[in-house]
Amino acid sequence: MNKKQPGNTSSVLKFVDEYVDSFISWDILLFFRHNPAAIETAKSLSGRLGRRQEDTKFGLTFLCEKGVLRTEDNKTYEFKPGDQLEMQITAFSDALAHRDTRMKILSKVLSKGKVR
Amino acid sequence: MDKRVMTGIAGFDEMLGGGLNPGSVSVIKGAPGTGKTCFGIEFLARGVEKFNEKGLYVTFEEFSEQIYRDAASLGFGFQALKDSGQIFLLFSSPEVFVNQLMAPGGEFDQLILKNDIKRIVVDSISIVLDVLKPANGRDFVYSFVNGLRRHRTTSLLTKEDASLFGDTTFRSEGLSFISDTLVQLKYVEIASTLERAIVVIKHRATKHDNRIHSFTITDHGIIIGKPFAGKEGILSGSPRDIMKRVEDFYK
Repeated sequence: MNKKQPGNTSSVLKFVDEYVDSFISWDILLFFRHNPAAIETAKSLSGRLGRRQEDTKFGLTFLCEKGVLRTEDNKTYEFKPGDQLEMQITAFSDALAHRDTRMKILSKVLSKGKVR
Repeated sequence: MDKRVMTGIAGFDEMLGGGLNPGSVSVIKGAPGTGKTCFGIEFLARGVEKFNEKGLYVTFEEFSEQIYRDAASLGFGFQALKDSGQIFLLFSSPEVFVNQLMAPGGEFDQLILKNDIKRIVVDSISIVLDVLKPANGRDFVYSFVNGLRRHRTTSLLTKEDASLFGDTTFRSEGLSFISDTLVQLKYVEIASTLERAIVVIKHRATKHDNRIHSFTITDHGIIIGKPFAGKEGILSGSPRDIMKRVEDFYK
């Protein structure tokens, strides 16, 4: 990909440090970024992501703790990040289109060593 | 509308109204030997050659040498493309592939993300379903297809028809609803000769050509021919001349 690397790479990587602890949280962030009105269960979301339900549940719990998602009953999950956080999630999503930044993000998430 | 992903197959993009939708999953089905694998190979080879897009070929039955041989018969140097890191070949069992596809940060995720792969061919989804026999087939297919969509790659799945002629059913675990594009390949008997036919049955969000075309497989790729004219019942495999029927009617 020949797109120019975005200028805010360091802030995206800082966001990754805090909010993308695994590939599941990566997937869930992108899913809700593109489907912000979705209300999902762990089962329905796992089907939409092509992941296993037990893996998806870990990511949902993590992102609720981080204030990205909201759950009333630990069954359904909604996207409620607040304006500032939503902008950071959008920047993360956009940054993945740039190969160099994507590789840095990939390396960072892999280095965390979490499979979920 | 997003820019289309052109297959690069002569005449096929025109049938598709410009190409496939980016990040979509398409199914190409047909009887053995109708050319499903050829479409898969050419989709990836043209992706590299014309559009500088890397591709992944996932196969469960054909050995690498067979794929290279098939590709060479179409005029594509698949092995050279693999050696230069343009095409990736994954020869595996359905169980292993599905585990990789679903594993967070697993080999599939890393292969796609590290290499910026844009096109995937899975040859074939029939084998995955036959071998794994998922208890809830529709949920399984939904999850499988979404796993392929995860990184916004454009994927082509092949699916084998049960019989050589006449089988245009599409019952496989909701695949017809879940996939974005459906293409049917057929053998057609005309004047004691087997010809190949192709029709786009479904293509989401696009006005597509709904006529049944002939196509040929040559040593420089697939060539989509003209629509069959003056015939009906082509999808049955045994077409009839419309004029002959009219003449018979007036006899």
